[in-house]
Amino acid sequence: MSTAGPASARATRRTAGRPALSRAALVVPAVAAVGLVVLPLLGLLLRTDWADLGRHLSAPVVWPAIRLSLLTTVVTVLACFVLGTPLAWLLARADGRLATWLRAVMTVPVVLPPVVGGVALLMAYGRRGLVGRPVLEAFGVSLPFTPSAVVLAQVFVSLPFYVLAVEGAMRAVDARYDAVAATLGASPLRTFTRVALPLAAPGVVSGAALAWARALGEFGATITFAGNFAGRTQTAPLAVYVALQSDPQAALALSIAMLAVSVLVLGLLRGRWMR
Amino acid sequence: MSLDADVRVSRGAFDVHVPLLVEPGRVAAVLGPNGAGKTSVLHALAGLLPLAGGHVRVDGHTWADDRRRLGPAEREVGLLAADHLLFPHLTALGNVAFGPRSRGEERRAAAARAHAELEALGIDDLADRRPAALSHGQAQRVALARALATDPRLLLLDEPLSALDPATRPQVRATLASRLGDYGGVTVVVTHDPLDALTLADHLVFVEDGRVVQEGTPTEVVARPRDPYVAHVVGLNLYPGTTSGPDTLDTPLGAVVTGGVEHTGPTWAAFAPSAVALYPEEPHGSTRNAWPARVVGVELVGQTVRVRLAVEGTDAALLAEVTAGSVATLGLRPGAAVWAGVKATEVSAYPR
Repeated sequence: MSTAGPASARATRRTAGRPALSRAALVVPAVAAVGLVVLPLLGLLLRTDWADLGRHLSAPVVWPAIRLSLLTTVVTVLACFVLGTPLAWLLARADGRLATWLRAVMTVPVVLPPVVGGVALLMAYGRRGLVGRPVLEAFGVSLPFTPSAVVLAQVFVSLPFYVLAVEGAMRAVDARYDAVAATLGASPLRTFTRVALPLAAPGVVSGAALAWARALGEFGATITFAGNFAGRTQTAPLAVYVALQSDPQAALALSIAMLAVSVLVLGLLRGRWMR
Repeated sequence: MSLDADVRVSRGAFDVHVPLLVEPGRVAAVLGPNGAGKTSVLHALAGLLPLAGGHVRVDGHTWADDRRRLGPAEREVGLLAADHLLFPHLTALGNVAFGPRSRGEERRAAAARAHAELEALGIDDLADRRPAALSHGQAQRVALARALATDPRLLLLDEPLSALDPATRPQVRATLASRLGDYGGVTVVVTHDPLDALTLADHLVFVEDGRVVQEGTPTEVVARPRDPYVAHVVGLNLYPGTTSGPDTLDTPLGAVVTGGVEHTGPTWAAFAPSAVALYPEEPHGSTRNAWPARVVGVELVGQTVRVRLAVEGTDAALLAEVTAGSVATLGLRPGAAVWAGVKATEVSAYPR
């Protein structure tokens, strides 16, 4: 860095002479960033027909979609908790090559375009899929285009968020607590439920919130794998997209409802669990 | 309940090999400088670290040897570390009851047991507090209660007092000593503090670089150290030598006259720093051992002053304990030249 000394000193002198300009170089992009996020939200709020919001919310497309979304996202979060928490704990305490690979594989859905996820789900659980075909032949059960498929799609995209968040929290639990619990006679399961889980509780809650938010917004994988059948697989985001073409005010009302629920959850978590 | 262990652990840079034989109800202290491998020994006994060889047997049950290795939960051990490591989300009572609950006790019985353990340490009034609301000394007592609540056959204490501040350390040391008196199992305490070892233990094991350099009762060890580190810990001047006459030894200090030697051959010569007197000139009279020396360091320890000396013409170092008054009259500052004298009767000699 010493060779850059004279040059950077010159640069400092030059900008120091114009503090207003130098400040503007920081403030202008920052304001633009805020605007990019706030303007669409403002648009949503200002273009909503608040007087007739109630009537628009009672449009036939709205309630079934909200109910389906709430139901499937709750099931998704429960599935994340039941399946993802033990995985997060095992990964948090593992330090082998296998754990590194597992961690990488579990991260793929985070970066994968959701539509591709939907295609992948079809290849696995579809009528001709890896698992789907034997299951169809043996039990006559077909998964795609059912509410279960909605849940599968949501779990596929949100489980990685959950596992990564909870693993981070559990890794922060001092491993010496495990050792103490073991010398006190605690089984691995008891150490998990009585020590790791309570100590990582804030991380579990924020992981669940992340997973829930991701599941609520799920669109691409759902429409590809579960379809878009009103009342069966048409979740709120799909309903918004469909209604925007036929009944824009209903789409707006549904969007406002989702915005309200999301902000409510964020607010509840912020006070208690998030920093 | 007795402990018969031959602990061999691999620690990367060096191997640790510490045999331990402890009678029921007794307390063994493992002493050594930092990095000597003391904590590895404790973790191997607890089952937190695999043995590289040897065995661990408690009351005739094999916990680990070449063929089998029980996990920590299957061994009946209690572990107390320097940091109390109380579970922060549980109350003091919940922490102490955790062990009994883990071992299958009913909720109510476990709580009763926890209350009894806290009562035995005089801290039952803290039962409903979370660790964050406890002082370090209180938390360490709760941790002791937790370690004892499972009736361990083997109680392992890892530097139990080192994290406490000097004001609370004596109180917790007293609690620990009296509670260990009632405990019927074997206790192994790892420490680098000689005072902990001397006040708590019946048997001292000195470990350096993973090897036992000396062991014995506190009385034996304090009277007859056989290793420079041990001598340093118990605060004696110690020199290896050989006998050269009925009462003289040949040592790195030169010839040393003793009160009498009953053996011949390799010997240790030991004397206390308080037996060393310092003079401005060569002393005459009853002091038969006198060496010219140079002051290396001066430090105040309690009411006395410790003077580290280099004996002229040799590689030997010498520790003297004098009053603050002599420091002033003799002008004891680093570099000052003095004579150090020790009476023959103050030097003890024993076979090496």
